[in-house]
Amino acid sequence: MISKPLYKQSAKANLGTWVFVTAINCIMLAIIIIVLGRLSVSEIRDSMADMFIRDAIESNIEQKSMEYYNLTDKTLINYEENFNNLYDLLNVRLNTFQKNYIINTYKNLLQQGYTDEEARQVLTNNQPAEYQLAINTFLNYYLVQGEDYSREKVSEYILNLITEELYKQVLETDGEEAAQTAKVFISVAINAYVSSGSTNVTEFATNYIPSVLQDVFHEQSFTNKNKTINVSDYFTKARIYELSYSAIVSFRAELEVKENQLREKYPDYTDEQIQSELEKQVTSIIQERSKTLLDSLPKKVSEALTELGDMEVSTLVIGTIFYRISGLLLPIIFVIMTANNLIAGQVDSGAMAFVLSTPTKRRKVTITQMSYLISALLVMYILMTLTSIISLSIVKDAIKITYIQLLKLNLSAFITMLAISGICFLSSCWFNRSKYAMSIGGGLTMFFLVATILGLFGSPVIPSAIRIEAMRYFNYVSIITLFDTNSIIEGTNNYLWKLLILLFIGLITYIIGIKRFNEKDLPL
Amino acid sequence: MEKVIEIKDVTKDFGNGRGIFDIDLSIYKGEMLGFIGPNGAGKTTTIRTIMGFIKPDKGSITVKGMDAWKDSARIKQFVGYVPGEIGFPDYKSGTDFLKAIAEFKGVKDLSYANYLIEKLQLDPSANLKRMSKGMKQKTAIVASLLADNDIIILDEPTTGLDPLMRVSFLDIIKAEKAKGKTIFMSSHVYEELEKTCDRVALINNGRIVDVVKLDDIKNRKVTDFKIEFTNRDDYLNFKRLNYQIIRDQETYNQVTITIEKDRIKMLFNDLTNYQVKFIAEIKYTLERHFNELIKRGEVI
Repeated sequence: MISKPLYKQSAKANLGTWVFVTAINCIMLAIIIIVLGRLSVSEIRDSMADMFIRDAIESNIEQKSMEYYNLTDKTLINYEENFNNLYDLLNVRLNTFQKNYIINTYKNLLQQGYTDEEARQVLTNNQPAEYQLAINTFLNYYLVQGEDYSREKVSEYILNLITEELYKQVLETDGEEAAQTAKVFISVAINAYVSSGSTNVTEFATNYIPSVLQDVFHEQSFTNKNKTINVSDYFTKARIYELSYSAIVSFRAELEVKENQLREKYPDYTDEQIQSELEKQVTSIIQERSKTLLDSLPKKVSEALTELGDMEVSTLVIGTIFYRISGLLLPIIFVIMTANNLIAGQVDSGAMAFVLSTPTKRRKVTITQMSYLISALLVMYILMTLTSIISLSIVKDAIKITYIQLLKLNLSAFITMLAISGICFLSSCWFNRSKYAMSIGGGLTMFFLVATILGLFGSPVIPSAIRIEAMRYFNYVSIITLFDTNSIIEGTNNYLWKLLILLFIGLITYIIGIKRFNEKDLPL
Repeated sequence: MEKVIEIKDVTKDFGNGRGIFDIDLSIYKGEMLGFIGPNGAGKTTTIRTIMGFIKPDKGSITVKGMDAWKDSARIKQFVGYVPGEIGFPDYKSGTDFLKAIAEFKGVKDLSYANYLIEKLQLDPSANLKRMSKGMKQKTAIVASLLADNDIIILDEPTTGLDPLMRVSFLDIIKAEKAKGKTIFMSSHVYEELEKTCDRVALINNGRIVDVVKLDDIKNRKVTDFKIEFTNRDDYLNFKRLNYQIIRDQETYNQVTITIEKDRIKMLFNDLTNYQVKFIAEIKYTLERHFNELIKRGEVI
């Protein structure tokens, strides 16, 4: 079905253009891959991503510092108050006689068969409320710690009470693990406070929290976009301490300001009422103070910045910019010229008369010319595949593109060219005049390419900061849109059915072209 | 006689009165048929239908009994064709082109091609694109003849050739004819057809006006003489004689008569009685034949 001399003729006649186009395309491709791999074109982008990470860690440190400070401060105040009250009760307000009386009576009652509740009732019967409370508190303590009323025992008792209560509170809102952590943290904090001998709770917490958090954060690591990030790579201990300390100090300052404001607003409120009002605002204050840079920007701007930070420049340039646009330009020019030369040009010049006045069927002519065109493109893309693979092996990990992706890109580009060559071939078979064949087939193809370039500005691969949504309509009028580089890069299978459509377009246009040439009148 | 090419009632209408209409024409084996007509008369269209490049609207064309459209490729085994407008495929030199054509035609022995090249004094090593019109024409002629096919179809093959080359070319064609080949050649030069053809078909406005045997024209039984007399009396007296006068120019004392060839002697005898200023035989050529036909056709 193929005429050897005709194939030779076509190959020779179009060799120059083919070599030129193939060489330039391969060189461009190699340069793009190597340049992307060697030079840090994504430096700005990297430093942006870096900045976002740093910012996120910073705000996390600040937030945690304030939260822990707030918790610690309140708990320590609570502890201090409870401790002082209880110690005062045990060692000052109740004398030894009273304590022994209560203990003995309580024990006797239990021996007589009274329950704990009934025994307490007998003991507190007809007593003023103040005494009732004191007797119950004392009994509670006695049942846990016995008759030892030393500071250490009292402290231990209060600490237990407070941590248990905290545990219950946190368990309700944040779950078992957080509750356990909070419990341990607070008991350590209270112990530290007691052993520090400090008398000012607020001052103690302000210094204590940063010194604890600097160790905790310094060892922390987390994953961001499949990359493990160690906080220690970004911040020294001293820096964490500083961040934490200044966050707490300014948090305290703000609380003070808020407190004064509340007092002015509600002059007849008691201290407790003021404190509970203030408490309501703490969460929002912490949130406000620990906003990241991105949080503090308008939503659209922060989205654009995040997107820019996430953008994979190398795959965008290789996939969309090269394979779908600039890498198609020269092959398209080759196809427009060659498809015309193969049929319409020869009919127009009369050269076809020599071929067709030999025993060569028209079908054989068209099939031979089609085979030449397809094989020329095939070899071109095989060479480009090799070039891309070799180039990638030189720069290796510097580019986030895999060999498989490169193979898919090359295959898809080849099939796209197949469809385009079919259109040009059909046009060449349809018209007897070069100028019509060129302007219809070539014009249409060029339109597709230009529409793709314009459509790029509206496509999602372009960062939203410079994207023009309305331009995406250009994508709907170009068959090159069916070459889905995005899907290939993202690893989805969407590109496959689109390739099938392109393959179908190529098949149909070639078949119609061959049929048309078989049936039409030739001016030879 | 065997009909090698048979065109039966073929019409190809391009609209606006252009095209060919009801063409009936047969070319016999070993015959050379000339095809003449003004520009745009339909010569090339007729040839293209024979070559199977154009599908006729109606009628049939067979070459060696095969349908010119359907069996186009098979027919080409027997046909050498020189197109009217020559454009070459993309080859560097004439030699490359001729070799490729030989390959297309399955010709291995290039000795005949070399003979043609020599005869036409062609330098085939020249760059195809830079060839002069004549060189291109010669190259095209070699390309179409090199397979030594039985049927040769030539569409105005002598355009672009200088007069000497025209003679060489016609020599080649005569030699081909002598080998018994069937030749169909269109031209607008009457003389070259007169010298080479057995028959000539005239086409005008897409219709065959006439097909003449050249023998009939060369061996006409009658011949024409133009005679001018010195004085008017002789002129008037001669007119009274029994000759068929086809043109009479009184002001010059001139008559043109047509006369059977065997009566020429009698004419000369008669003329000895008059004072004749000059006498000339008016040759009956193909051109004159067709011009008269077309003139008559226009009158009708």
